[in-house]
Amino acid sequence: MPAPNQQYSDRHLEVAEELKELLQDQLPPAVKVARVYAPEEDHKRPAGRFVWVIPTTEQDVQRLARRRMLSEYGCSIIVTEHYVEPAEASNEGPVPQAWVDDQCGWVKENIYTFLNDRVRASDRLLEALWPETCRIAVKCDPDQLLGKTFVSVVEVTYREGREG
Amino acid sequence: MPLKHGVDASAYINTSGSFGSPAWSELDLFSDLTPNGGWDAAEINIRRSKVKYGAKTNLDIGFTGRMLCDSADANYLLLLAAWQSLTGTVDLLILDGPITTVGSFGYRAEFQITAGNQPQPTTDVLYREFAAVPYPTANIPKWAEVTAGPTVTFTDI
Repeated sequence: MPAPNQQYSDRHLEVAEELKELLQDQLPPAVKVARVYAPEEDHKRPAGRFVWVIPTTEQDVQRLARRRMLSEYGCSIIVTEHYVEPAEASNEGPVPQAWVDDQCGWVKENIYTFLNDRVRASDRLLEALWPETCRIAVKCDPDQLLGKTFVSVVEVTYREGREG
Repeated sequence: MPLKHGVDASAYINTSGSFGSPAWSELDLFSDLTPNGGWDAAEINIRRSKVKYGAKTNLDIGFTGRMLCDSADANYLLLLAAWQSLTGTVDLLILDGPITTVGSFGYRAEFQITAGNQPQPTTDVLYREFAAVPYPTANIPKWAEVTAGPTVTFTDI
């Protein structure tokens, strides 16, 4: 099996890395941010909130000019946190709804709203890319929640004009 | 059959300041460019036949072109400055293929830029729609053809 990064262009990885840096600067230090190809099993340990930046799609959207191409790079931002019971509680029963609501609110405010800021488009990623789309693809994965892990997915695409 | 493709068409601006010794720099931010090519025709009516005759008089070699806006591109800025100027001209070479490909054909003239419309849709990147007409400088317009070499051969229009 080839190394995963052989499937990605250098530019796409650069975008994902820069996005990771952007989130790392924005989020509290306690949140662990990493660029990966899939969330690691670590997130199932009770070790706080994780934000995984995963490069996903890449395409040339349209020809802008005779020697310029509009290119698009997609990334998924996966937020995970394992529910930790209060010390006095037993490890049984469902995850409290209020905890899930808090998690969803955190994702919306700190990931979705932050990355969907079109005003910030003047401050471009890698000085070239602007946010084209941003959506919460999965608010809360119910299957993962059965295992007491909150998983939410935000998908973003960035575009730039490049020679080509 | 060597088909020609729009994406390979090319336009160049002379950056040397000399008509006789041009330095061609490609205007590669054009997306669509339409060189005009219509002759005006004078009407001729004579008793020889009932048809309406005509004779070519003047050729329109103006053009319209949609250019991607890039304020860091020196050639875009030259066209922008020419559009802003009341009297300024730019020496342009308009070809239907690369300047390095034998058989590329078009024309060259000193143009005034007469339009620079810029639609600003929220959902798109910005282009400027330039229009140009040849200006009667001392250098008369030329047919341009890339011949063996490759070299651009000019003949008066």
